[in-house]
Amino acid sequence: MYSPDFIAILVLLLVPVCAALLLAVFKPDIIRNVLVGITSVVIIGTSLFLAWNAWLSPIYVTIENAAWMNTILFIIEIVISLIIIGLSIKYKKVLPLILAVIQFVLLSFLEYFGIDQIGGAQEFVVNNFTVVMILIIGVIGTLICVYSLGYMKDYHEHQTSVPNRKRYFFALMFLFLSAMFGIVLSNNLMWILCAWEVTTLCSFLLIGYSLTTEAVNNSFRAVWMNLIGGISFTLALYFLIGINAPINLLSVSGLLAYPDVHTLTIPLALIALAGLTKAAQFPFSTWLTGAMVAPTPVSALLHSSTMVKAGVYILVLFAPLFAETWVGIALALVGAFTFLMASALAISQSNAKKVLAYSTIANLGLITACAGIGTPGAVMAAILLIIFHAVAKALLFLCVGAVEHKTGSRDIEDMDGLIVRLPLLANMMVIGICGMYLAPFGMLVSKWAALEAFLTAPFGYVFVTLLAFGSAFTVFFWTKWLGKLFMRMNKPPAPKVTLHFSEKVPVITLGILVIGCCIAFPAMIIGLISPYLHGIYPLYTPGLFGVTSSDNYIMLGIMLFIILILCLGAFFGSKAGRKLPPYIGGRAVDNDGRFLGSLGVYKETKNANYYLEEYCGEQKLLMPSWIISLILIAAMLLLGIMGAMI
Amino acid sequence: MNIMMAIIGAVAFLVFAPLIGGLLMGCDRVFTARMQSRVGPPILQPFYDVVKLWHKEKAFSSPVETIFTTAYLVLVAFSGAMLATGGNILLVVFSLTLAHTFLILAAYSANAPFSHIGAERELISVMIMEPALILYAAGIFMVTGSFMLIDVFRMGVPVIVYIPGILLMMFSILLLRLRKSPFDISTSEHAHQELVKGVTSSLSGKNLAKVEVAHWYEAMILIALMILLFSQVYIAAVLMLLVVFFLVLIIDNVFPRVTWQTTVKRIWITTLILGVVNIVILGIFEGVLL
Repeated sequence: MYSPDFIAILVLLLVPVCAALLLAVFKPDIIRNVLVGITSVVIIGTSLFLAWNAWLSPIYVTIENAAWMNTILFIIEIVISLIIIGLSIKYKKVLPLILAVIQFVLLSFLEYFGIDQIGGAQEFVVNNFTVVMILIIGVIGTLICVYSLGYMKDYHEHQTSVPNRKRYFFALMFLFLSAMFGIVLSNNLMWILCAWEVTTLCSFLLIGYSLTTEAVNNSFRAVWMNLIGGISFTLALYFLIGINAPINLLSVSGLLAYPDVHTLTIPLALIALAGLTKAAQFPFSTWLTGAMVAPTPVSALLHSSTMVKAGVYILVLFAPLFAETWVGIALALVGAFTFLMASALAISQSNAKKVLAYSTIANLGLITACAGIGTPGAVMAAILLIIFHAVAKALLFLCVGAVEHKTGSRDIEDMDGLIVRLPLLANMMVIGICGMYLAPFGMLVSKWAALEAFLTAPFGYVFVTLLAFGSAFTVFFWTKWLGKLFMRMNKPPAPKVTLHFSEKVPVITLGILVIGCCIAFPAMIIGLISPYLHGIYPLYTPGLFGVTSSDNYIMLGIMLFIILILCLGAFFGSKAGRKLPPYIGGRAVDNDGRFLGSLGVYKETKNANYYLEEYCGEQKLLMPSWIISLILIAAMLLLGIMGAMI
Repeated sequence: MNIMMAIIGAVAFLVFAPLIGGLLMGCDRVFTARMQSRVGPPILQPFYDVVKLWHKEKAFSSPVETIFTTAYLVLVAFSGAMLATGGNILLVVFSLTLAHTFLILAAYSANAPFSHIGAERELISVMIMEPALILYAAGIFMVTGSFMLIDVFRMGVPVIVYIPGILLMMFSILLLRLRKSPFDISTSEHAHQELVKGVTSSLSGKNLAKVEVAHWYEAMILIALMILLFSQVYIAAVLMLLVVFFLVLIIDNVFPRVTWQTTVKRIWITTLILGVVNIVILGIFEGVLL
């Protein structure tokens, strides 16, 4: 009686929840491993199935009589608010408490007024953009959960002071996936809001997993910042209900089809604010950098496939509306500015996870900028960025997490010679880093698409300038990390380098995916993104953009071929030749590259990277970034209230 | 794109660029010597140097240097060839960045203090260059409506008319990337200085020869990017080249090396004042100018 598509949607929404419940109950590792394994296979399979079907033709599912579902979701929202209120009281945090109470009140009223408005629109829409998101969440998110199996085992061996709450951990991870599916599959804004709040709660609880003072503080910071987003989203719904429109404005498709965009500027500005908080743009970046205290799979999940992607997903979804308003320009400015500043901040960090965090913020900034500009080219760039960033960043996080457990440090300065010490992880890390900024990998293609989009947008020169300088910083911090891996290659391989099977599989799969995306990006543009753009922009013509021109594909192909030959050369080429000790100012040097110190002792040379603390340090840059971005956000809200149109 | 023309252009660049680049370097050494009242080496000295290096014993402090320097040379040459086909300027920029990454990695892998400092500084130099190259591409796009260099020749007037600031900015980048004073932060011009050749200090023999040839290619790429702005008016291009050559000579001989901080400040202020302002003016008056 139900169509297979609808069943697939239900599976994606409910199977993770059921798995979460089971994982919360059973304690033995073996049951957990089996459960996670089975659930992962089911989720990945269903995601692929649904993605394939939706790619063939977009799926629209309407549920008759969805009122009972609204009631359930309302109860979930209330429970979430109560949990946050309760924990705020327990840990005596005033700000989260106040915001949670406000949200509680707003939600209650919203349910009271808004409930009749529902109906008349499709409840689930799966178009090509949703397909991208489903694949990211379904494949990458699940791989991260699998990776956690091995990781958490090591984690509790290393961190003996942290109470073992693996059941709680895995339950939350899968709940998170379910909520993410909820956000991308729903067409109904009320439902999206509910899933939105679930991700807030899950991230809050996961960041505080270790229960140390730092973890608790950071988790509360995450929750109050995300609550601002939640409140802003709720307020947007209020305004939408207030608009007297012939169609249902509480749905994504309804909003996109609404002709009088000038009446929508206030809700748009509020949704933009909500997106900015979730996507950790300045000044809301600190929750994401603070989230680094959590176990690495959490960081990977928050950064690459879920949470932050929810923020930009909403922004990209409404990009066509932003394109017509000044709110969009202001939003794009916040994003581009964040890209510049976060890239600069990443230079000053030596903690690998912190570098990844700032790089995430920067890339999300670029996506936000593209969404704010909202032209077809910009949306294409944004979707490409989402894909490439998700794959490469997940890979990098998993590598850093595994390296930390093998070497005992996540500091980039301690990663020298990793390419011989931990060859598999280091090689994967190289792929990930190259995937983030080097030609011919995907990130670069998206940067190129973004540049083209900026140049054809109003005030394009501002965005181009910010992008140009920001990408210079990007080159700097990635290359010095890459260099570190190739330093001191005379070290012996690390003794205990065996990875857990559950860690090896996701890492290698993601490595292959990064390269696969790099090769398959023309297919993605033509087969996946162009049809989507065609659907939301009636005037869009695919041939217009340089990224899609075949001459460039040939050039990229040749470049790829050269790289391939070079890689083969690196592995099979002759290494014959006389190996000389490095030149150290004419001092005597022994075979291991140590130099003769003045007391007749051979000493190790230690070369550290530049971190430019005095220019790019957090002390120096954070405060000005917050002030400027706050001004920009205030301007955005003001422009929304004024209803300014381009 | 006419494929025949593209292939001829690429091959011509691959063959002639190092010849011209080497000759320019030779001229540079002769003129510099004359300015210092020395006789100087023969004009073909850079070629003799490279040939001699090529026949040296193969020695390295890390075996990966070989593949990294090869990658550097191949990719710089490829960037130039791509430029000569009239292809996408952004791809040229990106592939140049990739090429430099390999040189920097070669220096890192030596694990020696001098080459490490050289690597960091070379990285800074690549970082400084990046915005200028992107702005160059942006400037071309704003004037011609595409990143394809071939479109520059389809314009009625040379693009320099619209983007003179970009040309001047590119001149500062040329100064930086020739690794001559005052901006020879990553490798000192002479081995007896405190940097001991920085980024190349651990390279020898064939590896060093490859870096040398790649350097000629890179110089020719930057010069080609400047000439391109004069598309139809070749007399002006030649005059510009002569002026640029002598300016580089004089600046090299007059100014001592500055710190990397000063380098960043000077080049980026130049980029902002010349490049960015040019782009902004072009953006604001687009309707009037084009």
